[in-house]
Amino acid sequence: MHFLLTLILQIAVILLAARAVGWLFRRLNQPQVVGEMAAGILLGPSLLGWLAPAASAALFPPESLGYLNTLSQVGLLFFMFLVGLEFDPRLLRGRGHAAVVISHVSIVVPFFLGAVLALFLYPRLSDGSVSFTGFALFMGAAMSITAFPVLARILTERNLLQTRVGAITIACAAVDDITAWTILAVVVAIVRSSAADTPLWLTLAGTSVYLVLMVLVVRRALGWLESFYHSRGRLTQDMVAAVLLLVLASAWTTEWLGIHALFGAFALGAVMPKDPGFVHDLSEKLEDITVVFLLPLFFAFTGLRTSIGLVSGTEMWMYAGLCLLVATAGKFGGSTIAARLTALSWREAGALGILMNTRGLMELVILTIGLELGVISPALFTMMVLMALTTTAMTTPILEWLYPARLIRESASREDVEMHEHTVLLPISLSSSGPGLLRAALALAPEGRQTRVYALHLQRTSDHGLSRVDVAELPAQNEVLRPLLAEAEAEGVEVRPLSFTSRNVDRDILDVAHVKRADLVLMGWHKPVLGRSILSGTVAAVLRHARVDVAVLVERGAAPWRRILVPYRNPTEDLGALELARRIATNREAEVTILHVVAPDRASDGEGRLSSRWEEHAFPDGVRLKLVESDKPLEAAVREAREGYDLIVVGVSRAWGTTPTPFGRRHEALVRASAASLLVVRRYDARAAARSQDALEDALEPKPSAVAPPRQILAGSTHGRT
Amino acid sequence: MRSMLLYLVLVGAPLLGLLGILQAGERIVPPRSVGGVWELDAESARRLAAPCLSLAFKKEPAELVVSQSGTHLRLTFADRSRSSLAVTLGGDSLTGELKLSERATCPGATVELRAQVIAGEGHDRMLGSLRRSMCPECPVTQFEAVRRPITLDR
Repeated sequence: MHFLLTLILQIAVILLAARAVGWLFRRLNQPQVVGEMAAGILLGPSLLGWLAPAASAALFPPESLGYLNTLSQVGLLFFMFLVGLEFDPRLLRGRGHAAVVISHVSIVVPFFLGAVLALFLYPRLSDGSVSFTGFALFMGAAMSITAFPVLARILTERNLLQTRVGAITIACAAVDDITAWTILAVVVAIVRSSAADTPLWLTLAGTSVYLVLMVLVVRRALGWLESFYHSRGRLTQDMVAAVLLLVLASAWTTEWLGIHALFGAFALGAVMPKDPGFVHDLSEKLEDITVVFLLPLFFAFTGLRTSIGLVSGTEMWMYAGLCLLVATAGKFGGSTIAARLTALSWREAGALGILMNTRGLMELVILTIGLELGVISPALFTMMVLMALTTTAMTTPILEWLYPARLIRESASREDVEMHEHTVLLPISLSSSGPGLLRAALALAPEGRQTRVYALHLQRTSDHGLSRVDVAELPAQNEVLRPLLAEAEAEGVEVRPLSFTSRNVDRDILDVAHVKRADLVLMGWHKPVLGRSILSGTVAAVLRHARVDVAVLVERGAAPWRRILVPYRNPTEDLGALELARRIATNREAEVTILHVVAPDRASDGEGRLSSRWEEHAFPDGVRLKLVESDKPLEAAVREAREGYDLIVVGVSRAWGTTPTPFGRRHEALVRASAASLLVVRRYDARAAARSQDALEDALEPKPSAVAPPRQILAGSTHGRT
Repeated sequence: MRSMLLYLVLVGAPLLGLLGILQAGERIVPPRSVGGVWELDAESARRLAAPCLSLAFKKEPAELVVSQSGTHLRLTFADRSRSSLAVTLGGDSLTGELKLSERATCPGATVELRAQVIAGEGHDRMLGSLRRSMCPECPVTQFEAVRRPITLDR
């Protein structure tokens, strides 16, 4: 087969495997990168080559691997640049002596234990072509690495960055990252100098000059790039090209100096300007192609060189177990003890230790360098790859055991909630929707109760290995929440901002609503109405499952709302809309029209029913009741909606086509009929929910008194929800 | 003061220990290096291609690739079946067993490998033999190979 055909086929298979196994691992609460590493191993001789040797040989013929390797190395160069770009010296500021001690111990202890292990493994798994010093130093460096990107991602996902343990961990990991790569550069220089004509002192002197130039000259010169970025307000293609050229130049220099090209890429990333906007934009330009496309090629190439068959027999598996034991004892043990002795409780110290034990793909990078240099043998390479995979995969479950998410949530919810307050939760995904939702929340406040507003921005986790660590950002500084907070300040209203990363947005919205004892979840819809159905996705999930009132605002024009239409048909489904419309009418002195649609044969009945509700809800002046006889309530409402209303308030009902559906646009008829905004209201009936829960429990368990009622229902009832 | 003391104990002591380890490790004698590509001479390649071994090499010179992990070796003949066997290194001696492929005249048979590595001027040489297990009357196939200079990425 032509080499290009083979290469295209290889890339397609690798990407498919990486995405599929990555997805599977994400389902198991593991970082995507662990799945991609595993996918690489599965494509190699350990699984594919073992199960289907002919297919493996056809897909990865030895003569084709050069192209794959070249692509993967280029990907690795840019990945290391991105890792360096993430390094921010601000991470180290103000962390105190504890962070210094912990970070140094977390490097030195595993390094020392790695060297001890080298005493045992050198005569068994190495050979005379490698000096003991090179072997021992390499083993030490390989044991002391921490995967900063994976660690940062886990901290972000678990919302640990703002905690003490998170802050110290990220500082230690940053120090580890720089130190481990520096040590490895020295080890590579030592190993290469023994086989090359260049003396070691020359390599080290050249490297020192290079580093001084990078820090003192290049770093300052790169400030120009930042200024240019600010003057243009964006990252131009010319600037991206300039950065790429600089990465290549730096990588070429370090390779020429006798250390590795990857150090040059990493060093350039580390000295790049750290302006958040610049870093964000540059990362966005490079990250997807690097992380999604090129990095899986590296994992696959690593997997092709990882042959679990080389670890055969009790003796070899004992060596593999020893590698895992020493790696964990050194990194987890060393970090935990240092953290306990300096600043943290046992629980926090354990969490820090297990986080530092995450090695991820950074270990694979080091091991690949070691294998290419001949410092480690193929069997030891396989053992260490298994160790990297295991230490990374065990991080999340052990962290959950040591420092459960429940504890983090509980500490976040330790806040007094006044029982007489009306609490509104505003999940915000786009900055532009924030002010409108806040105005709506204030318009929906019940009389005589103070409104407490929580603005929540949930950032979806991306599925790749890198993760931005914004050291300075607090919820109040969140870009998405900023317009809402500005509006709140203008209105003189206190809004409590919340911001964190989420794997499951609708579940987290429900959780926060529960923890904050919200009376109303008010959500926005900001996508083009004709582009996608309104009541689908997150909105639909929250509407279905929230144990509080939910309202969804499709904003078509800024409040104030002067004319409001409330289509009414059924008390069970429409009373919530009626109640919220009443509040708006009271708070904003708006004119409300209640369109009461009744079936022709039940007209007199219907009027009587609503009249009693009318008194019950105490509508202010300016409310008009309009009775319409029709078998088709939606059409009647659509006709009325064309009469120049500012807002239509409607319940979740089949009659109005507002029941959540993943497909179809029937419910959009009301929106398309007029230029008015739409407020879809779903009222939560705690008593009805309790009744159905009781009925369910009765059916399943004949001892209802033994079963405690759901907490949310109790919380809801104590708030006297409308 | 406490931090400094901790630092000295937790960082200083392992660093001193590391120096000791590096000193002590230099006295350890590692297994001899035999990894890399070995070129079989033409006569050896012809003998190995004969029945019943049937190691039909794809190119000349015929090659034998040794992947070394300490005393644990994997020898792969660069024949059409890429016949491979696990070998143990003891000093200068190599011993292992090769299960013949389906293409061999006597497929499935097991062949014993014994070889000796001899350090030479510039190039190491390997003198070896392959013999069917449990078959004293079967002929012994001798082979000789020369190690190609190592070109590691250094």
